[in-house]
Amino acid sequence: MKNKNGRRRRNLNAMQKAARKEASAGNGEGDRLSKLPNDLLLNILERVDTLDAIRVCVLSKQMLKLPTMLSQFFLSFDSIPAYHDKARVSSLSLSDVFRTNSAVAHVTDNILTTRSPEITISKLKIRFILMQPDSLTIGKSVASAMATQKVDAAEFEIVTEKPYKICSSADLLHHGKQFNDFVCACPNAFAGLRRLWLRNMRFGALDIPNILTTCKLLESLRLTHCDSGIHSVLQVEHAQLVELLVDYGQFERVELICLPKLKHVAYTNWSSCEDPMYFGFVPQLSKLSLTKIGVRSEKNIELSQLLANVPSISELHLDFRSEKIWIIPECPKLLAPVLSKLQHVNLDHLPEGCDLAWTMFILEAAPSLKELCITVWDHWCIIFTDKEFRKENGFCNKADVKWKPYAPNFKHKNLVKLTIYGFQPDDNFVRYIRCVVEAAVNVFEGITELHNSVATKPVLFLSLQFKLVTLPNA
Amino acid sequence: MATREAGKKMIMLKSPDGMEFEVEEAVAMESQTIRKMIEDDCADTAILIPNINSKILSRVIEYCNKHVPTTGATGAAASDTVAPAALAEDLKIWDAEFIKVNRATRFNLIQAASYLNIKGLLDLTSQTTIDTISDNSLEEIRSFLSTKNDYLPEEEQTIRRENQWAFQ
Repeated sequence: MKNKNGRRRRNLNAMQKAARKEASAGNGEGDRLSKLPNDLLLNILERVDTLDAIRVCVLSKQMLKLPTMLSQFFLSFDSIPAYHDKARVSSLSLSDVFRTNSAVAHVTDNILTTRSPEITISKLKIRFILMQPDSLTIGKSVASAMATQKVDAAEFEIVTEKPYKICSSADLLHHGKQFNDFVCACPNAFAGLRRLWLRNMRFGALDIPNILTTCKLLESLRLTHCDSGIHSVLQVEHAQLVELLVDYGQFERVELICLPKLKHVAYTNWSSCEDPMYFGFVPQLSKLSLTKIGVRSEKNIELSQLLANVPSISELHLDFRSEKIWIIPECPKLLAPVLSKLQHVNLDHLPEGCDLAWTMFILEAAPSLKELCITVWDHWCIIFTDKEFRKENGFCNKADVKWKPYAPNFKHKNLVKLTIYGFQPDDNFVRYIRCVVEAAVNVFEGITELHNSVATKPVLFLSLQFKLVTLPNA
Repeated sequence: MATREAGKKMIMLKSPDGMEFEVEEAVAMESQTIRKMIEDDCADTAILIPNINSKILSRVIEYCNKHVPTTGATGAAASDTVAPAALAEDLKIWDAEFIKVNRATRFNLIQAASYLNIKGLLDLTSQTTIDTISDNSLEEIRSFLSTKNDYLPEEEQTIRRENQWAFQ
């Protein structure tokens, strides 16, 4: 919502000067924001978060009534002027954040009780700190809005007073209890909620299933640093859930027991040494993202085992965080039955300098694959470099993944696009591209993009004749 | 009058101040409003665009010209070798230059984009207007948006009391 662009501040003086010049030179009417018709003003105001929109509206009497006509709300405890401005952020304190959290509660209550009920709320997203009385105010006013007005999509993003870095196990338990109390106090708000994101909470064994029962319309659940104790098993059953995102936490396993509408699952940095997920009845699951820093002691994943129950996956995203490759190349005979629907594969953060040939096992086993995107990148922001730390925690040194083709003359008919980020014009890459292009007879027809870093435009294209072409401006 | 020039169908747009612009039909159809007129066969003569003067209309046409999908006569992509991502990046740079206009022009463009129903242009102009307000103090916003303080002193006091958080 917020444009966190530092560039703006540097230009501000120039803009203000220009603004003053315009104001003094102009007719004083045509260049006034409030001259625009209401629908256009609302369209503009719904592009920023609601606190900012109100900051604009309180500037003039004429615009003061606009907030009651908004149909989209985004309220956040970090909507503080200067919060995203590095030059000024150092002067902010925790009390500024808490004060804004209270403003979020106050405005939520105020706006939901005074707005025109005949205007449907198409979106209501509230990001707040779990602290009283603010949470209770928010919960109650959202519940009463749900009872009296039409609320299409309500979303809570709940953070805790203490960030994860300084949380003890007791803090996590306390947060879990605080949240349970909150749900018990405002069950009706949770009953109408569509999206929920929780952080830093440790629950009792039955809490998460109970929360899911209360949130009966929930479509998206995200759990960050949440669990039900170390080595706990999370069993998920829900009639409406479409998206489940789990990051960190100490679950031994996440078991998707019965989720008839589930389409997208992402699991980042599980702590289990075994397969992190079990797939039960998930007939619509099509997109799976797994992200993990692999270490020596952990078992490598066999996709044929992990995905045995979900032949419906069409999009697979595997992120190796520039460390060990934690999946095992398998023979097409074992793997093909589970990858028959696979169309898009993204292999992210593969360690630099390692042989890429092993990725061909996916092509061999997934005849429907259309797009393959590979990013080869030693990302120094995420790599642990301290040698002692690496040794103690079982990080692996770089090693090629062993693989040999099962059918030497194998041809792939459906792959039309190969994209490589982190391309270097060395033997490793050229050999790999030749290998893919020789197998994938139709990749000629599509585009092969080679980017030498993640952020840039492609530097090279493979033309129809498999000639490396340098792009202009690259 | 729909005429033909170099195999492309042309359309005449007229501004209320009497200027006429001949544009390719595909360019004019970037406007959903005009597209509908053309599709409903209401566009056999020149189309009068009310409320949008020639200066603004010419800028709108400039925008549509740039944003019309680059398709050849057969409808195939103009180039097989230019990535969509690179094209999008170029458009973004062009947009950033295009929107460097004074506030009155920008507000006129917002209204024109709304009337003609050109989503891209409405997004660009609206977003540019609001981009400046987060991170600034109220007085900065007031001066930047040129919002007139139309409160009576006692009214302003009430507003400040009721929305204390916003004035901090």
